[in-house]
Amino acid sequence: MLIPIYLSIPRYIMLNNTMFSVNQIRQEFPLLQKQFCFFGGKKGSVVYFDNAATTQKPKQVIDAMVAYYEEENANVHRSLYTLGEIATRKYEQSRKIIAKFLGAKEKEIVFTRGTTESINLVASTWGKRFLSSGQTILLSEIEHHSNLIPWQMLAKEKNLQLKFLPLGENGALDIQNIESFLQDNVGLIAITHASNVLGSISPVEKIISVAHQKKIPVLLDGAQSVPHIGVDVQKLDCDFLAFSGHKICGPTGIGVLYAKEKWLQEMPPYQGGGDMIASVWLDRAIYNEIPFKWEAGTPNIAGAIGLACSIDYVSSLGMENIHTHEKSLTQYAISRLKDIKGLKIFGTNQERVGLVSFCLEGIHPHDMAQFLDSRGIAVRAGHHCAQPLMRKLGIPATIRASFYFYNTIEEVDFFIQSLQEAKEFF
Amino acid sequence: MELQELYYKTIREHSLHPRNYMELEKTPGVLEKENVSCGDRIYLLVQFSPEETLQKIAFELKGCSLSTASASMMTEIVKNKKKQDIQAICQEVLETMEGKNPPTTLDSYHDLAVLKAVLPYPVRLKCAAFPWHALMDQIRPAFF
Repeated sequence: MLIPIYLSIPRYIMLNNTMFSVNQIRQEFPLLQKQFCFFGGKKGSVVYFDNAATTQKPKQVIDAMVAYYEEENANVHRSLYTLGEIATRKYEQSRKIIAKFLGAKEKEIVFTRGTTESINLVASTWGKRFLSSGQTILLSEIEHHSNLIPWQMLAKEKNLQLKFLPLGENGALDIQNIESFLQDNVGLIAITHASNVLGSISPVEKIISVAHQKKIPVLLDGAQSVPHIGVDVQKLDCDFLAFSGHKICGPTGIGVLYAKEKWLQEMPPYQGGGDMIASVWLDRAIYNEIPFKWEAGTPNIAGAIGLACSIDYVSSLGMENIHTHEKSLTQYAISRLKDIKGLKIFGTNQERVGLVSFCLEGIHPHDMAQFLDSRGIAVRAGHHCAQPLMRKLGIPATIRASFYFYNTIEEVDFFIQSLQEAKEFF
Repeated sequence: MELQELYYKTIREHSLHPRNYMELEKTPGVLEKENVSCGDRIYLLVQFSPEETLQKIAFELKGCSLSTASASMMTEIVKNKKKQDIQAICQEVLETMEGKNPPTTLDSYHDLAVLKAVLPYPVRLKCAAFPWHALMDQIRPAFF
């Protein structure tokens, strides 16, 4: 009898890949300790496999934000009293931590509401100044709506063309013909670093190097890469990078735009208001220096502090360790999913982040999600804000299980067992 | 039988054997509606008599078991009813799903009563409400 491949991998080897204790880490996440009552009445803790949508928060992050509100709350950059100084120091310290994490300069870090706002900011400021009628923006077929709609809007307004790098066989981008795409007066390349549906990591090093030979700037949607593999902007040499705090154990409502200093110096402002100005008259204003020029109004101070704390947290675990752990979970999950008859996996690229999308013959993804919920398992079922990609794949929706460093092999086992039960149920 | 168990049993039965289900020719008289939250699609045909009684209703749906079952139950509820009564029923059912009426409102709609089990899950309710919105679109009086 043939032994399935996953059974031939001794568990301790898989777990030894992990340089941190998952069980210990889980203790630091209050939500993972909580008991819920799920659809159908089952009580227990949640198996949280929707980390590509948002991640859970460790106590450290929650405490840091509570501490700010309880002990340090004041407005930043303007309050000439001790408390205001403390708040400003904390806020700017957060920027410093994030800059260090990305290998950027502090002034290249702009706080936004998240990936979506970061990309919209680039489209409405850089795009308006540096792109002109007839030029092309090169995207890809696998983009999340947040890296598609802002460019559609800009294209309409400025009479630009949109072109799309195609989806390759295994769920990765096909960049074989990238040179021919670049002949078309391309003004910007904006692509996802890691797909939120297929899990594939895009060959961004190659894309950036080819683009820069032709002096074309590159924006990376880092929503699914920064939290899982980390990004060094110096090494990658991308021009722009956008990501969200809540996908890296930080709070919602805070995110980052990294932009090269040379672009930030040239870009017109995004929103007008307080804090983004140096001097104001009734009929004109001189704008503040970077990065404050892009942070109009009172910023999300607690959010920035929470995000910096979450970045300290994942850094202490080590991005490489996190990636290794997720990789072993994903490989194990894929090897077991392959054994389920009628199950089709979308995206088999080896270079991937910790998520897997699939469909099971005869069971609609919504029904499956509800069934799994009754077992206490949270997965995403739907089009994952990537409708063009769904159309390309010829399906309305998939089920997606996405992992983070606090997930365990035992949870994957329970997930597989529940999928098998669902097959019998439907 | 507990509500959850009854829910699963009923939804399953209706989704496996949907009433008034058929492949519809995509003619202008057939309404097509997409559930934007998931990409599911329904085709709906309704035919009224000169006295505005619903004589024929048929649907085709590419979607989950809940939306299929909800559509199946809907066709059984509204068949042979007057247009204005159907409008009132659609409104009452949708308002109940939106939490504006007590859950027990659904008890007067036969099998649809099992949807009380999903009332606390607004995201899933979109699936159940989907065919009802389609019917509303189809019979909404035209404004000039």
